[in-house]
Amino acid sequence: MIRVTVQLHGTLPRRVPAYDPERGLTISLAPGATVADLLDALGLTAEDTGVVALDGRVAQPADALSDGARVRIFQVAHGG
Amino acid sequence: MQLIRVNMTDQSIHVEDMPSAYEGLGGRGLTSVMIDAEVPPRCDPLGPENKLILAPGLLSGTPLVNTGRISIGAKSPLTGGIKESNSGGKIATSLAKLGIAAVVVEGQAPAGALWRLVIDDQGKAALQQASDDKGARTYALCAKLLEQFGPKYTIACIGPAGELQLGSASIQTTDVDDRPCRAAARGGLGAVMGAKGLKAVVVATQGKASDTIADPEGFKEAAKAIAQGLQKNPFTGQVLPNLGTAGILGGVNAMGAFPSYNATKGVFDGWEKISGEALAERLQQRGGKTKHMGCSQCIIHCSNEYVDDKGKYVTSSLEYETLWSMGGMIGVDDLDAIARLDFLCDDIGLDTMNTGVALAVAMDAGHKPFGDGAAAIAMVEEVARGTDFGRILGSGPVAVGKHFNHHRVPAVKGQGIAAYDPRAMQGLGVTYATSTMGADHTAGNLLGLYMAGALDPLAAEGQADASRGAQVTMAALDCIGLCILAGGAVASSKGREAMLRLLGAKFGREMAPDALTEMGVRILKAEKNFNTRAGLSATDDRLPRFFHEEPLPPHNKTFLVSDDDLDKVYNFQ
Ligand code: SF4
Repeated sequence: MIRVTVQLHGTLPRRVPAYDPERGLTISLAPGATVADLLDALGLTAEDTGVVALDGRVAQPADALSDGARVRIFQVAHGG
Repeated sequence: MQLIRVNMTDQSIHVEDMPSAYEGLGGRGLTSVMIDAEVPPRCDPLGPENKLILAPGLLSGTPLVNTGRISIGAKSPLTGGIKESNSGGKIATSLAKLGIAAVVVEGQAPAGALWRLVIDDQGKAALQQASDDKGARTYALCAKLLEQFGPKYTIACIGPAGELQLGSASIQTTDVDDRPCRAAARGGLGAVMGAKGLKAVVVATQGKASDTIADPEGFKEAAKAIAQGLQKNPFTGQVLPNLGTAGILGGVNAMGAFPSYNATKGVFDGWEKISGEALAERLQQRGGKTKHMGCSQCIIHCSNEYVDDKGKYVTSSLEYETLWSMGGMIGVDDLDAIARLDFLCDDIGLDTMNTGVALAVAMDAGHKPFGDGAAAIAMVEEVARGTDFGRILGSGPVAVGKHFNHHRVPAVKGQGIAAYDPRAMQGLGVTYATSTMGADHTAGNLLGLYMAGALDPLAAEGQADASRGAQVTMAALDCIGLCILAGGAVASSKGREAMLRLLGAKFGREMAPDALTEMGVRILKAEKNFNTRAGLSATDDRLPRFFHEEPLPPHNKTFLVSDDDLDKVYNFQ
């Protein structure tokens, strides 16, 4: 198993009971898991999420996650 | 619907029915088509030939949600081209309820004279001497005028920057709670109003002469579909009411597109201190408002009320663009300093974006260190005092760049960029370069496409077409008077269909499926026509050189879209 730390932004934290914004979430996934697998595990759909930032870079759904990765998830937004 | 023409030269007022040439136009459609038809394109923007036009949207004053938006148009002293600057508050709905399609301010009062225009609840307009208000800041002015006229009035006004006729001068409108904190900020239209000798437009909110709706039932039903769409959408239904537009900040920063330290970095180190999440937390702790209705008819409530550590009102609404221009762009990560700068700009009547970019250029040139919030506050105060440096700063980033002989000036057609770097969001670069308005994110923002993964923000491909599409849609929405933040409601085919049904029900005729595109194209063509006749050419549709030459970390990209592609953006079929 690999463990990744996830930080949720916007109103996503409200969807996870007892989410602690300081510490984020720690999620365990199978080795070779991708960003898409992580979103699945969190129950997030394409409609909910926008940018997934992986160690400071913007990630694609097929990008593989490594053990200890830090992931930030933002919601889709439109500029105004 | 009627046009009220106010001649400042002889203080005469004429009311006329909407000429047939302008039928079917409102908001930006009306201001732009009218300016193209009536304003000599080579005129001095601060002279008597220019016209300042205030027009509510086509559907302002109807039961449709989020239509409390006003377009203010003129030839811009900042860009030298046509300008539409959009604001909220109550004035659009109020004018529409009085049956007024536009207020057209013409001519010029003798130098030193100052007037206010008052439109009462019967729609009758009169000019009143306002020499007592000379030099007044907007908060004090509006408090005084609303005390005098009573709470059933709303105001559009200028502050000291407008009276000084500076290129970054805004026109401030009062919000739902009667504070002059909404702004038609861009393009120096406050300077045009100041040059006319007009300090304020005071409008009754209780008019009963709204334009008729041909099919009220059909209208109601389609309006309901739009409102439901906005409530269901996670961005307009959850993010904006809870975090405001500041909710965008984390995502844009994560995409490396948050122009920081005068656009030398795409990620701001202190972003977590000024993000939407940090702002909401601060306001919750201090008893401010994270959710606030800024404009009439709004169901999104993206606005907020920032308070100090004693719970006292500082400003409303602290928005994403200001958190950037007075935050990351000048290296400031202190929300209290940013909120103070936001208030000062509203009070002096200044565009927070153009002023922030101007400050960033001054800091980049070594005038003051990045991150020095107190120095930024002192510099903005100089604008109100009208010192030599204050006048340069208030004239915008290009004036500041010239003053310091500094090359890195992030502006197009004289107007400072917005909070999306064109090297990390290439399509925003296309919009900045080609928009008839100068660097204007609201003219065609592609953030939604990038965040949804529908378009690669870093590649040149596809950006010109996407920008053209967004520019056409935005022009149509600005004509209708729909808030840009509610624009998502017409992004889907179902939403577009509902909007066509609304227009059809309003005018009592079926709208063609491409009616919105046609509307947008008509407006953009009029604007382009004006700009060409004003002397703007393809060389003005370019980003500053440094965007092509200096890679932006962390992606280390330059602006890649070719000049050929830029020149095709306004080739409409
Ligand atoms: S979403 Fe914000 S800007 Fe738009 S109408 Fe509502 S309060 Fe005004």
